[in-house]
Amino acid sequence: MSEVIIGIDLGTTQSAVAVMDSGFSILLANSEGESLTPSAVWYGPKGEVEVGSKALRRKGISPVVTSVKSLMGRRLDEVADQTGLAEENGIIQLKTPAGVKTPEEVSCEILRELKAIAELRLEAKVSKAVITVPAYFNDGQRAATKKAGERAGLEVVRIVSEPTAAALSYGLNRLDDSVKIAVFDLGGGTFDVSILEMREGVFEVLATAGDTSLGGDDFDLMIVKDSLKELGLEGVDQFNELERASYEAEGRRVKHLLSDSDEATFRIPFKGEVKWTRSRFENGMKMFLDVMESCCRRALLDAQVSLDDLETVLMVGGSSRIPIVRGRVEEVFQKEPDLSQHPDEAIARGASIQAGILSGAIREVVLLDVTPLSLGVETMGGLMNVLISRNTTIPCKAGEMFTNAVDQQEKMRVRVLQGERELAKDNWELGAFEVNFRPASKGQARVGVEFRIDANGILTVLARDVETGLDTVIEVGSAAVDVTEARVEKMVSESVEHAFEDMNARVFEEARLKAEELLPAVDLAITQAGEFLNEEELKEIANAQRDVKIALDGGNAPPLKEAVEKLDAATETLAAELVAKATKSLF
Amino acid sequence: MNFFEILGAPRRLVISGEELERCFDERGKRKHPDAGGSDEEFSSVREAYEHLKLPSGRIRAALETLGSEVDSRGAIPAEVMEHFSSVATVLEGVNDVLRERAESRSVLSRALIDAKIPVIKQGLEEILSEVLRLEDGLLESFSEFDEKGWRESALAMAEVARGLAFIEKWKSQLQGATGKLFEALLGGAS
Repeated sequence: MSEVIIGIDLGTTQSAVAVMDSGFSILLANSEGESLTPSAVWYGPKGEVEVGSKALRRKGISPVVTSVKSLMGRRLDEVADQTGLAEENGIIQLKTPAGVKTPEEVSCEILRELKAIAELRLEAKVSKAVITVPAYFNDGQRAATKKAGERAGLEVVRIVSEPTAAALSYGLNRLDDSVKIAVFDLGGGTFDVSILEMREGVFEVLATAGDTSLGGDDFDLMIVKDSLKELGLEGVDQFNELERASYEAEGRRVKHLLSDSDEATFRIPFKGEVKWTRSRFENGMKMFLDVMESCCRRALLDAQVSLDDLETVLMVGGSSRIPIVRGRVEEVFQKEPDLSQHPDEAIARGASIQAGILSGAIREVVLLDVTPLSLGVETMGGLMNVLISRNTTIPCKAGEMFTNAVDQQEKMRVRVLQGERELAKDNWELGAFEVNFRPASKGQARVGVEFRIDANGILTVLARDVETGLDTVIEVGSAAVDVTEARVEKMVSESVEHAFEDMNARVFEEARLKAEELLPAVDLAITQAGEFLNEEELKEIANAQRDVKIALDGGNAPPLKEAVEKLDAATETLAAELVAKATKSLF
Repeated sequence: MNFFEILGAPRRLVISGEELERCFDERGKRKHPDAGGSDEEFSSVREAYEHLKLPSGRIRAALETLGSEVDSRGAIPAEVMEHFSSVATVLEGVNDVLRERAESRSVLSRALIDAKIPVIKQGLEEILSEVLRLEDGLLESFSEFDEKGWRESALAMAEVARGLAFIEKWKSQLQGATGKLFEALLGGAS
């Protein structure tokens, strides 16, 4: 028998482990008989560690680390809620009673627990695993996940994207089909949408898009914030960690209830109650749904697939149970979503299928995934030069030639970037490395650098001296050092901005330019989309317009700025209607 | 490097996308690192596929099997020449709108620009279908090249390859411009 490789879904709120057995994917239950293990870790003051439901039960009594996935491979300034976090050398540090832990170390505890579950059920040692990550995870996030697995004593034979895993689980029983499908995966903390083509055992990802910080946790928080606001207890920050944990749990409870019933009550002991209707919840979801919709459209566009070509849209992830999410998916894809896969289990099953492919247990199936983000280097002038564009099939490689710009130049620093923005600084910096030149006059020393993205979506960089033909693997250093640089830069530019802000003249000038652009725009917009506004809204706009004109004549900055802002706000609906009208006519 | 051999494709210029895809699936399945191949082998199969998929790449690959190359500086089919300025005008129009949009100071004036996008998109679609028609015309010569023999048709093939290269560039620019318009409208994730 070939060696067992387990498949792991390392989720934001819960995780699962599965294995292939006689052609079937089997989920392995933990010691409590559950196939899902909460991704929660509790650290005791003496260094004790508990994972899963055991850890979760301590919530409210003692701090428990949850949703650590949202911190993987990230820098502190990218995290919205920084309570209990610090940063050292560009790596996030979590404060626990057992000392400081990195997200990688916390994830490692979860993986260790899953490994133990597998060993318990299989009655054998397990040393290899396939682990899933959000498709939209960048190189740093993937590498951090792989390291966490290795730290837990697992050889991570493959990192697979979650929606791709779900597609494997869906497609394994219909290998003879040739179809295109979309996978919509909305989990506890991340969102992905992938378009795949299945052709007789070849699973090819055509495009993928997503948001690695959008998921069920955000919806809970939305309920909490809105409820506290109604109770006059605004600002989550004023509460301690334990209180917040209990509010979030209450938010989650309300969210779950609203998937089945029309009403639910958010309760805080001794502080009050807030009534929630489904429509109130759905209103609060609008912003999130819009982001999801735009990701779906982008993926369709990148895949060059029309809605008619799509056989189905498969929905997975716990948050795909929310009715309004299903409704929006149906609206965007113009077909009823496929809910045949268990939303919490499909990904772990898919991971075990990929494990089966790698161990040789499953033949005639091959998975062609893509890299979700463009890879490039910074060029002169701070622009990003794309070497491998997003949605390129992996494994893949690209080369770039570097040459000395001045005589006897010894080395050159190259920054490696991932992202879709034109300016280097707007993209995620994976790190930087140095190219060493042999002594030569300008333009004579040449070093070829090869960028390889392996089947895990992880990058390696090789430098080849053109003269000697020697290859060396280049260590891409952490971007930590540059982060502080970037921060200093940001602070400097901000302080300059603040200095200018005091200058009345500059503020007035800016507001004047905006007012002069806005005033004629309002008239034009009303002729184009005025029919969408009611009388009251039109009146409000007219008033705001008048105030801007008065303030312009007044020549004073603060009132003009205020009036322009008011006009901006008053015309918000009008602008939204114009864009909605244009967007509709595109599809 | 013989891309036809690497992909296991028949030595023909007239070959459908589906046929090439089948060759890729079959070779890819065997050369993929998960099926006993290696990253290196799989990358070269994919590279061959990417080349042969493009009509101009197919001609280049065909001529390379004979040991000759397409000189990028030779003559270009007249009907392709005629389209240079019209394509450029449309692309510039898109860039102007995107710039105007990026420079606008208020949500409302940006929305007004957005309202113009559908019309611009229609213009893009029209020129794109023109370019596609042009491509079809050039592709008609492929069966002739296959029949007469590649060595005998080398000069004509090179000219067609140069024309197709422009058409492919325009196609990707026009599609890219459409994409940029979409992204401007959709905003959100980046």
